Amino acid sequence: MGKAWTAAWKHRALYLMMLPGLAYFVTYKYGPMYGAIIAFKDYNVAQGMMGSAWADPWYKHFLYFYRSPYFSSLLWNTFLISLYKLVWGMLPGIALAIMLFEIGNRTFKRWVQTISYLPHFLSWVIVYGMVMAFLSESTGLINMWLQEWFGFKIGFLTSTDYFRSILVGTDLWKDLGWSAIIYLAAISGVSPALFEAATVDGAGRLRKIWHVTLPGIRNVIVLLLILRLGHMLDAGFDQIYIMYNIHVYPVADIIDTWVFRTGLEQFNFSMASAVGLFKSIIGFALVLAANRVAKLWGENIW
Amino acid sequence: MKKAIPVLLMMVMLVGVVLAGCGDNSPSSSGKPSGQAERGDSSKDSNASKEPVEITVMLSGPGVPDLDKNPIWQQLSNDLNMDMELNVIASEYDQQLNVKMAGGTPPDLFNIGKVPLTEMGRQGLLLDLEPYLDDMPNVKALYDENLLNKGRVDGTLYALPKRADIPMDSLWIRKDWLERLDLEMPTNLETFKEVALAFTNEDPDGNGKADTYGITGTALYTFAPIFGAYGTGGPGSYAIKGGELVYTTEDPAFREALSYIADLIAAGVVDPEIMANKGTDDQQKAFQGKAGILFRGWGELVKDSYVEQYKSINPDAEWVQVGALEGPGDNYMSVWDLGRTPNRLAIPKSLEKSPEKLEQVLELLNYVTGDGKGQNIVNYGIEGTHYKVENGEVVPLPAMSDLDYSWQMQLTARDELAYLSVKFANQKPYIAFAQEQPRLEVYDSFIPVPQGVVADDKTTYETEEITKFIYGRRPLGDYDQFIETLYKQFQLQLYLDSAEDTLTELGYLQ
Repeated sequence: MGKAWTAAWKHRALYLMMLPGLAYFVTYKYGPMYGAIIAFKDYNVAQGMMGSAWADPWYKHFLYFYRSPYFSSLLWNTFLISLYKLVWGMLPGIALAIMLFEIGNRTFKRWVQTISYLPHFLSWVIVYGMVMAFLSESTGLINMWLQEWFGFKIGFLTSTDYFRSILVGTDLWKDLGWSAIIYLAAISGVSPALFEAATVDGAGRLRKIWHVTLPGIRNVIVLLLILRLGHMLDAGFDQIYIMYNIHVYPVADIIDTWVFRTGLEQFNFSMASAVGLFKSIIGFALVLAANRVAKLWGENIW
Repeated sequence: MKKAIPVLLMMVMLVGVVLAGCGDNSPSSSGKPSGQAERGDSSKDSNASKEPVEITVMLSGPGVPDLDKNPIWQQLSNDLNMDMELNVIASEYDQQLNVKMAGGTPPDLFNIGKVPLTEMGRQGLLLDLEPYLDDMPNVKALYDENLLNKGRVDGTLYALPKRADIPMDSLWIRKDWLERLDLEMPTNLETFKEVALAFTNEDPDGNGKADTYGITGTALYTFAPIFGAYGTGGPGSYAIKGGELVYTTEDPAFREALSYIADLIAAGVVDPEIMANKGTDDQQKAFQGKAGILFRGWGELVKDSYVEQYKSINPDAEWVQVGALEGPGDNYMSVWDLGRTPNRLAIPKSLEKSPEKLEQVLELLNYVTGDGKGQNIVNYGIEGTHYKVENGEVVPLPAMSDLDYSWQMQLTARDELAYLSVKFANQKPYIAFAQEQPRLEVYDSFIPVPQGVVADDKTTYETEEITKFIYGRRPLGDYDQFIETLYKQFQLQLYLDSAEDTLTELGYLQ
């Protein structure tokens, strides 16, 4: 005890610097957690968080969600869309970062980088407008071509076959350049000595990528993977809410859109927070599990 | 540097003069002549120079101009000596209201939908208006029990409904397309289908491309006149036939209508995106000549600005109304919800604690209701600017067309027919046509969501499956199974019991 205290005192400047960060987390992350209590109450705005009666039984609102005939399809959709976005959100980003790194022409590199991360700043409403302009069955450009040349049309946005691909595709297009930034930064941090040594040993470009670049950013990749797993059950509410329609509910309705429709529109905050808590617990478990797995390669973050 | 000071001084003085000018005018021009008669019993008269009372009002719907461009708002504020903050929210209104209520900062007066009304009323967030009716003599005189029932939850008056409107929607068709293809106006389901087919396949716009559809619309509402022709309504409505409660989705006529619609869709005459169309997408598609038949209100087709809009795209275009189609049923145009009200207004329970504001809100409601000056302001604007009175009749002046947002300011709505005939003189025949169409009476808005169900799950399932039936993704032979699932998994019986109880209580069912 005494020893730990002396050690802490020795580094007091560091602890002092940590204080604002701690204060932030306590105020904005840990403090509001007590609000999760309404998941176990019949929350009534007039009576307030403390005054509302406890739910009977305590898991009543969880049961509501679980008993919904849509429970399993919601969970499955959320998981699947999230998984697709995880794979298609990380791998192309890494690939783009490596390609950008390998480009010799600096001006060209800058242009590509700027243009590729620009869509990140568009809102989903605008992206949806663009998707409609291309893919709409009655007025879309692509369907007009199909009709003219092949004599048929495809209802991309109303078909369960294409909808998830469109979700993932637009997500990829929107955030590709943005996600490459962090990998590019990590690559820039790899010691040039390693590349030089590899060159001396006669390694070609691909060899260098495989044996130097990728291992060099492995820890960043694992870190980001673990962080993203924590949000596994957030499959992108704003995007889906804007894009979906009744035809594609079976493949597109996720937990968040369902909660939005049933919980908030019916003023049922208790159920909304019960589902939120449920999502957080799953996310937490995934993060723990992923860290365990990462430990096998010695890349665990704690 | 030295020059700057005198300039600054001059500016300050100028502002001062302008302000003084305003101060001189307002009390003499508006305060006295209007105020006295309307607010005779109000305590404010004794204190004319009192500070204006601040109130906040939140309404749902499309935008209303800011105070400086809104003569109606200015006049109301002047007449009632109030400082009204007006928030008009165009989309996601319910969510915004929820956030305000949950955050403990409710507006002093706000629009509220049926479901939130029930929920918030039961949670004790809303003020019971019954005891305050006496403070609003105009409201008390004009609102009968039937009307007030639309604002009641479990017998308590938690909201003031807007006064009823009249049916506005009907079937519309491109007359110039009919003429080009030498077709008769459709009168029954067979000719309707023929026309829809011709509009799709025979190039009605003559551009040599197969780029048109027969019918467009939004979701299942597109087919309202077809359900009507079969003598039933769209999915999920509660009607009374032969003294018995009928849930339309279960109605045998509904199933027949579905098979007719499925044929239309299979024939490729329906805009494939009706289920994905949002807002006025369908109207825009129709205006752009993508489709020739549409079911919508006259307000979205023949208001002067819209006629101008579609004529500018195609000068030959002409949209006309089609009467209810003949079919195997009672030939309705669509349904008419007897419990319907254009909107409701509620006051938060917490306003009890600020009697001054409450009094101001009640005064406002009273002022804009009834035949008095207040109602004329919100209906027609300022006398002499927007309208004049000739032989006791209101005659619009050109400036009245600037006030296309005035319906928002009509907090308690208006005497519909008198109003429309002044305001939309050009549209009179269309208004009358829509109003005269036969409609199946339904009672949906009276019926509360039963406790302990997730209402949206049922609606979603119903819409999802019906969409599959009409798009041929599930055979109509499965229909009985579908109804069974509605009962078993989605507790349809609870909804029907709730409907039965409520309608018996209100005297519609014996």
